[in-house]
Amino acid sequence: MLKQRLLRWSLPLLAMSALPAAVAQTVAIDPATTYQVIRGFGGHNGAGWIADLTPAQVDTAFGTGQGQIGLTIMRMRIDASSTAWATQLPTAKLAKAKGATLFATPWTPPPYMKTSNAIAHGSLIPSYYPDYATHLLGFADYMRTNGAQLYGISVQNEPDWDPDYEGCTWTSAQFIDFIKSQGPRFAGLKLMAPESLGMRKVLSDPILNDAGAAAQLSIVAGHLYGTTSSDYPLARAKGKEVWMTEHYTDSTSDANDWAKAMPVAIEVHRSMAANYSAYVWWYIRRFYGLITEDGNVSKRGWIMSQYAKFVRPGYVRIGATQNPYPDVYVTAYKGGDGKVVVVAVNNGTAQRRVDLTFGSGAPRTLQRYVTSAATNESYAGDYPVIAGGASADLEPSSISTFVSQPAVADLTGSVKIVQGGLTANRFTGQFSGAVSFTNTTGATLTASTLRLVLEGLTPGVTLDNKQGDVNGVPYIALPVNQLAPGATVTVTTTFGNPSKGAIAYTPKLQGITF
Amino acid sequence: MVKHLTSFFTRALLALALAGGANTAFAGPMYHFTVDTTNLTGTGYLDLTFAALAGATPATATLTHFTGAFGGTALPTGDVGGDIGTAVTLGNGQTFNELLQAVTFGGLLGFDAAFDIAPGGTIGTGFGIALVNAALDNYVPGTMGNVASIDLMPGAPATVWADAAFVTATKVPEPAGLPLFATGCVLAVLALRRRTRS
Repeated sequence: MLKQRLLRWSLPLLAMSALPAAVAQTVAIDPATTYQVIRGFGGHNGAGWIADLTPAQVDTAFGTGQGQIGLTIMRMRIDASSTAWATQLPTAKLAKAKGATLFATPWTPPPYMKTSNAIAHGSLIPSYYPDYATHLLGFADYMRTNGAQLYGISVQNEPDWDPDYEGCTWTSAQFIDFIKSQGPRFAGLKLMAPESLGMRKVLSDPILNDAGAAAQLSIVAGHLYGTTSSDYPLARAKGKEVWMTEHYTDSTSDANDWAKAMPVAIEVHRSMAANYSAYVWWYIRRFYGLITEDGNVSKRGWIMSQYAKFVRPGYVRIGATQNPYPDVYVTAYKGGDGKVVVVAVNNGTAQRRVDLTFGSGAPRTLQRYVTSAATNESYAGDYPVIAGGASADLEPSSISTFVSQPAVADLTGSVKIVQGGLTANRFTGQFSGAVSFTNTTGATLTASTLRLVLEGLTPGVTLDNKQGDVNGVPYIALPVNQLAPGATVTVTTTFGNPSKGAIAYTPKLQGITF
Repeated sequence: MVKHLTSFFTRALLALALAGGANTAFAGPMYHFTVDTTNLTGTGYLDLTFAALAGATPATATLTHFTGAFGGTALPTGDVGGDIGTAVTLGNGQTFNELLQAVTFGGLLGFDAAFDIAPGGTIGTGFGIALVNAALDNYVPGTMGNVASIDLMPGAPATVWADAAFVTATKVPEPAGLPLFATGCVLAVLALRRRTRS
């Protein structure tokens, strides 16, 4: 009798104790709610200070195949002496050829332009503002003419930090004066500032609040030393992207120490949730870096890859429940290729079940990849989306990336494609032209996304306004997802062609259905 | 006999008109451009570009009647021939074709541009006008690239864009159209006379 009573009471208790693990929390994904455009994930190449990346390591960093991270941004240093610029070129060219976005940062102006007349300490003498701009533009021009066109250029690394090595201090007022007077000379380059040590808004607020300076500034850049990622409403209000351009979470432990690697996942998540368009790690290859000195991807690198390889440049962050559990961190994205990507970090010690629900645009299937102490971006199965949802168990201390698998239809035979003439910018090597599609069939062409695919694009030429690649082939989404019989839609293509050589490609129209 | 001669003459005229028509299918539009540099000082370059994807429908731009403070230095790149004293011809045999012509800013620069584009094909050519500084390291202040452009497409009207602060583009009646029009008038009169006689 007593035994039966005990059983009656203990069973519900046992069931309740199991509840947290068995009951799922909902992650509501809303593709209709959009946030920042993602420019990419990257790292700094330390050529000049540490050994340059080898060509094989460039492949590992910027490739998207097995055993590769899929980085899409590379940062490099502008030496105070132009005689040292060649050091940056080999890897920059290789990374550029793999589609990476390049930007460069100076640690110091040439000493003669500074109050300290040395590479350390001091500030830029105002009468040298034009010469300093010429110095920075000289670097950009050197890279461009040698096949490594920069996307952006920073005014100064950590202007609020005065170390005994290369450095230069800047105030907000100095930034404003420099950017207002010299900014117009940086046409074709994204001007970045202030790259403060700790994303100090007190330094960047005055720049953004000065209409003349704000008009010339493209990217609010900053580092995360001594701080954590946080939203920057003023930058958004001024229409500026925010980039996290340098940080490491730990420089004293091995990059394969799993417990010390998980903070990378939390930091990248927080940066994305804070509306940053880019997250750039410090040294790409280092014992505490994304690639260890043996050339292999580290645990930190695999964590970065869970974002970098799947959330590609041009993707947009979309609405998603960020914390379905206190120790689970979720962000979601959609791309012009029709894909939806969900990255879920389980920072706890318990398995967590999540129901991924889609309010609209539900994909048919999600492929899952997992990095944990035991796995490196391992394929973890297909998850069919049924009635707008899919459930998954997130292993303790793991990062999962869910990627939708859209259907692709070739619609090239259903349209007349006309490629317009090009306009050229002789200084940036950018060529722009329009491509129009006219539906020649009697039926409306419909897909979740219609996109222009540029097959066989001339080697050395990049599609600068691409929204992504499929197996290395760039594409641009059309502004419509339906094309009525006889109707025409036009998109603009912008090519990076520093050599000003021939540009050729075969245009295709694809329809993507989620 | 006279009737046969008239018929022969009419047929010849028709053949001539058809030949003229075929020629006008190849001929494109002509524009007169006026580039206003009155708000600029010093010297620099007028940058004229003709750019197309590989495999573009063959096209040429013939530039004539240059007026204004042009200097002697001309820096051509690609498929460029002639000089501003007579005529400059830009072709689209390469993707990037450019003439940088030295100028002194402060006044008006003018020239005519006649475009020929072959019929058929689906790849056009772009003509661009820009102003470049004397150091050849940037466009002049207030501009970030072309101040005017024309998109030439085979079998379609040209699309013209101009920054009104710097350029006015005026379409010039095509000379090839005038003799064709006159030929048409003669043919119409001849046809009317023949109907009246019969």
